[in-house]
Amino acid sequence: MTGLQNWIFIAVIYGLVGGSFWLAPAVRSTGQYFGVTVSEEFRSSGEARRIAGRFRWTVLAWVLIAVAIHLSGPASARWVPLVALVVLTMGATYTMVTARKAVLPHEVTIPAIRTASLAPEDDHIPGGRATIVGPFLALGTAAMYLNSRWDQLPERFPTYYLARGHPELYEAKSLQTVFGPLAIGAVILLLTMGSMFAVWRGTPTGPAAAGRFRQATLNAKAVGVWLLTILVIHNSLSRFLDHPLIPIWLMTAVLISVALSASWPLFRMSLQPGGGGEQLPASAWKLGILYYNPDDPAILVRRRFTIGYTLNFGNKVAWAMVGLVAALVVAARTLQP
Amino acid sequence: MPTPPQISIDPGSNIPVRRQIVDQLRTVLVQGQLDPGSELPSVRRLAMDLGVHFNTVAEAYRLLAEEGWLEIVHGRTARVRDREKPSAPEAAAMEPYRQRMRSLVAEMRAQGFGAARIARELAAVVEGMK
Repeated sequence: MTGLQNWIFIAVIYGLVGGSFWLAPAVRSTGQYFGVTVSEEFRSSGEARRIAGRFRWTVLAWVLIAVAIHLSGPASARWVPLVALVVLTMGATYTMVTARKAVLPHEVTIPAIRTASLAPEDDHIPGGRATIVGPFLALGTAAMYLNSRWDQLPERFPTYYLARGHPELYEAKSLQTVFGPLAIGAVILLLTMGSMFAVWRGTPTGPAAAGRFRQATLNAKAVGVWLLTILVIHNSLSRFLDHPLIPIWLMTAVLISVALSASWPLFRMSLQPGGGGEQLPASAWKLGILYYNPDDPAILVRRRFTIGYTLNFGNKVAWAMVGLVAALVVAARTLQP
Repeated sequence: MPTPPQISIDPGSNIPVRRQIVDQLRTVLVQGQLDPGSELPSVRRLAMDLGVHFNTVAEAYRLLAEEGWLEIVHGRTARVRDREKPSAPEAAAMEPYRQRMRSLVAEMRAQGFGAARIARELAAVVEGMK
């Protein structure tokens, strides 16, 4: 990585992980504070602010430690960012567990009453079949286009670009180098769609506010599926030109702005008090972050800490999803030339 | 647009969840909040929303189908049936209900509710289900 790429990586990856932990005490929608159900009075008390302050400073310290590990390791070693990321995640999680212990004495018990509407189902994936079939058709079309122009493809072409759009790495033409990125893109698309299906089929529609959060999550995931499709096709085709099809800065700007506008409603709803979340039995939360409830058919439930959904580890489908992702990661590592 | 009827369950209650679902669905049906022919949420969706096992909801639907309130289509979808009003049962059939009402009224009296108020509440409940 060049110096600029290195700093972009540091800012984006460690910033995102650290930022999501930093933001956690501000998440109000599910009525929890560090994964503990508390009253609004406690949440606005001086003690709650002190716990959050201590938590945030410690998270910041873990981010700095991760950056230090990243910068002090050999630049060419791929394991360095991974170690730094693991240290950051483990450290911030430990800090969260400590903060949770401090909040636990202030826990309030509310009955886990669950309500369901008897209205007929009207629940669809945003964009319907187009979102499910369209991206694969687009990838297939791109593959057919490359196949039809096989003879005209250069014998060597760039496979890695610098941030400013200059090619850095070149590889020889082969089935793997020409169609590989499309195949990998298809697998990543499958995983993204899998997570969208898990939200669609495996989460409660919940009270009105929770239903809106669920819909916004589905919308964001559908947008993600299309952005990913565009990115994969763009990268797969650009390699055969002298320059990227769309300038990298423009592509990055478009991707970031579309992704941000799709995820913004999720942030907004999560930071609002009473934004909804189904009442889940407190005993099913292990350490405040892991949900284990074999009696609950949900595959995913709203996180009590940070934004989004988490797996119900009491559900076999959730374990199958974890196994599938792990198998794909191992397969990708094994098949890598 | 009228708000669709809802049911709620309390997993911490002493009353089994299946019973809670059956009782509340029956109340909704007796009150006529769902028209004959209207479709109920699928077993999967209702179980997911209530956070209970699929079999619990499937069993609740089956019990109500046996009572003649629902029609199960393809083993998955439940539709409200146009149930004929059964003929008035014999007087002896009232006894178990009388006992349950007696227990309920005794519990309310023990909580401090006056007899007149209880009578008004019971009348209002009956009126709402006519």
